[in-house]
Amino acid sequence: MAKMIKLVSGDGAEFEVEEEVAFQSKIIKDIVADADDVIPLPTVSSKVLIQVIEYCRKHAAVNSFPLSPSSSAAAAASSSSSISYSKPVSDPALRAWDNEFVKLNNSSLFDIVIAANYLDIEELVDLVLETVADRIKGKQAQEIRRQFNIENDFTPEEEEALRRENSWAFQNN
Amino acid sequence: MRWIPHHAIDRSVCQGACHGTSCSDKTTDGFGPLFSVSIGIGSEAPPSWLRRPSEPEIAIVAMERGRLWMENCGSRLFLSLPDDVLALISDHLHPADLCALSLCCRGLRPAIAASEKVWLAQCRRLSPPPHALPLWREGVRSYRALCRFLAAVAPLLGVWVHQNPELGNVVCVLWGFLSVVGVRVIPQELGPLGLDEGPLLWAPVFEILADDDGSPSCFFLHGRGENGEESLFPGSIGSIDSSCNILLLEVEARRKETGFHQSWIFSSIADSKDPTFVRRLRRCDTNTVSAPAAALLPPPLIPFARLPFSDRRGLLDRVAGRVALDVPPDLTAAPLFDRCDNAEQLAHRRSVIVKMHKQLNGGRIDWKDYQLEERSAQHKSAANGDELHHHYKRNALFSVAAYFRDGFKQFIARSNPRDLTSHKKHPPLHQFLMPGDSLGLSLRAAHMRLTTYRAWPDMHDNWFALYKLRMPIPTAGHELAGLWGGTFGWPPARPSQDKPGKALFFLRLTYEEEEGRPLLVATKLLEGTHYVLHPNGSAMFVAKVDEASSDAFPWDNDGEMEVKQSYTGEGIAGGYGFRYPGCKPGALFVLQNGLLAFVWKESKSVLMLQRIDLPELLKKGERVATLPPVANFCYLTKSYSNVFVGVHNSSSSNGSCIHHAI
Repeated sequence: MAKMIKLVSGDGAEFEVEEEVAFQSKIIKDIVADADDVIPLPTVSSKVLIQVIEYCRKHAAVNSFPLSPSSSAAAAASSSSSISYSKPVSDPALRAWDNEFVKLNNSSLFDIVIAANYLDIEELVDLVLETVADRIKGKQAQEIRRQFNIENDFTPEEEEALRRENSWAFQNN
Repeated sequence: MRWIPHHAIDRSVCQGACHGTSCSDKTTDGFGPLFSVSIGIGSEAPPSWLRRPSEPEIAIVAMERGRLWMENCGSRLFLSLPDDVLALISDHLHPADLCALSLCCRGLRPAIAASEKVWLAQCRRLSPPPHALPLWREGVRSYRALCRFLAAVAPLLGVWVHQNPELGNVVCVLWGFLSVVGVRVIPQELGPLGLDEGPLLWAPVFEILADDDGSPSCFFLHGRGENGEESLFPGSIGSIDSSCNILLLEVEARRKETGFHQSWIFSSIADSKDPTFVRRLRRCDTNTVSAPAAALLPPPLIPFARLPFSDRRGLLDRVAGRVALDVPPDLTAAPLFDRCDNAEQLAHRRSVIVKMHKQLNGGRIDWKDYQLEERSAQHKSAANGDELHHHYKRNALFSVAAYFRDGFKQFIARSNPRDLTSHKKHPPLHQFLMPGDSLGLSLRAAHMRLTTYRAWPDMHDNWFALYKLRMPIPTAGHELAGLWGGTFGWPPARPSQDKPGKALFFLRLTYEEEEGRPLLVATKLLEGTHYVLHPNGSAMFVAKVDEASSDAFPWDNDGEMEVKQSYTGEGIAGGYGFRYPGCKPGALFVLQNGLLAFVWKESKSVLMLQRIDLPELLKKGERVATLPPVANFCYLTKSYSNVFVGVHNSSSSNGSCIHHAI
């Protein structure tokens, strides 16, 4: 019978998850080691917590059921250490699942990365930041504004002066 | 302007009220349809359900709109992230992306542009030496400024070569202290301690230091001054293309008009692509403050590269002679790059010479000063023969092709169609240099279309230029690619004090394909003999990587030498004169300790090679004296002996004796 951990979101909703799923988060792993099985997460809303749990569930499943004997040895070795997710995401099916997972609007993405940073889930933080970076890469300021719904509050003169100041960065493209 | 929404209007009343006019639905930006109705009725007041909103109502709507907008404004998404997370995003972005992001709105600018963590992540991506970043940060305003410098000069790192002298002209550009330094590995023999212990002999060529704001503006040429002392020659940086493959030393003439500066430096080489040209023009335009004399714009400057060789050489020599900097002896002896525990010395040296650079106004001289220099040079030349001309002449005498002495016009090599430009009519010097101009040395790193033969670029014979040689990185299937060095003879050089040193060879191994066959080509970059055997850039050997050799390793009498692999190939041999070497059969052996051995079948000569980490070897190396500045940058006289030592040393009359200072 898998041990269950209870996570309580900021708006009071309770979520029971298997230990190995919750242990994707370093913070939770450390807290549980000390004492409680009930962990309050006041800064994380239910909506975000559900998404984070979904990610952890998927990644815990992949970590527990490796594809080959050699990687099972690696997983066994790593689970006994403090890091429970040292296996890189090389599995193409998992990568595809990750890519689907991050097809969210900007606001949700940022909420998830803040929660993942708080819970210390390194892989999820990397995944979301890579997605955000992809939405910024190679774009002009105007396109970035449109993408993230940012209002331009510079005067044209200020903007021109800043562009000149930054011209060194744009020159080598 | 927002009208009362149309669904609140009784349509039947509306239709009755408007006649002869059009009711048009106009949608505005998300605020619902706007009714534009012109009512042709009398002086009756419009019905209450159809009226223009009052001023206070407009204001309330605008504020509501603003509040909704600000709540949804994307900048708050970024600003809500902790600093560390924001810095992690930087790992996935380029400086241009970060600058674009910081330009989005006022709120984002301090969070991105002024964040040290964000720009530190960017600096790390440019692979400066480990542990250097915090030390270098002290010399500039911010990590952003440091990133600006690192990004600007990173394209210069690597190995640059020139055809002359034929023994080898290898300039390695590596990180200094908040600078990049170009040093030449001179042709030499292997020292008593072997290659790993060094010391490898090198001479400084140039360095580019960062200013406080991170701009790569302090350029110095290294060279020997008039009185034989090691000197610095300040100048400026023209431009550095991020995919540069040619490094040009030029003289930049700047027009100084009242009210605005213009600097026009551009190349008019027919087939060169210079994307920075248009940007530079634009920069000039934005710098232009109300130009009352717009109708009297000065004629565009002639680019330096179009001047005839003798004018270019004369300009470079005279400007360099004029800007020579007297460096205090303790600074001359100070190290140029990091060797461990000398960070303070390096920092001190950097701050002193950057200050000197500024005091000299970046090494710019007035047109009048240049004229004085030119006149005095002509006097000297009339009185006792041109010193510099003698210098070039002396070396020409040692070379087989002595008939080059009259102006370097001939070039017996793979003929370059671009040579034709040297025969076109050249613009006279007075069009390049006008009264009121200021002159200075300038370094420009450009990208040009260059033809190559077996990985060696075809070079112009009279350009003061160095050519980039990309050093391939070993990958799967191309394990032997990269820079190798070694000597002839078996067993591998373990020289002792009494035995003469062995000539050191540097070879670049690359994988090429010829007629569908994969080949490993070893291009000779440096040869440490006294008199060169084969042209610079020749293929010392070529191995067929799809054909194993059946030969046994000749010295494996005990069966102890484990040969991992062997390939058939051909090694260089005498051919039809110097310029057209032939080849003879041989085999390449890959040995178990990472060494390579190429054996010529007939003569049993063996060339033993090991991998070289050139920057590391140079850091453990030993500095030797330089040539006069322009020759030190690029030695254009055809020469077959070692011109980098002993020219000024009377004991080495044949210019080829190399001594190790132990």
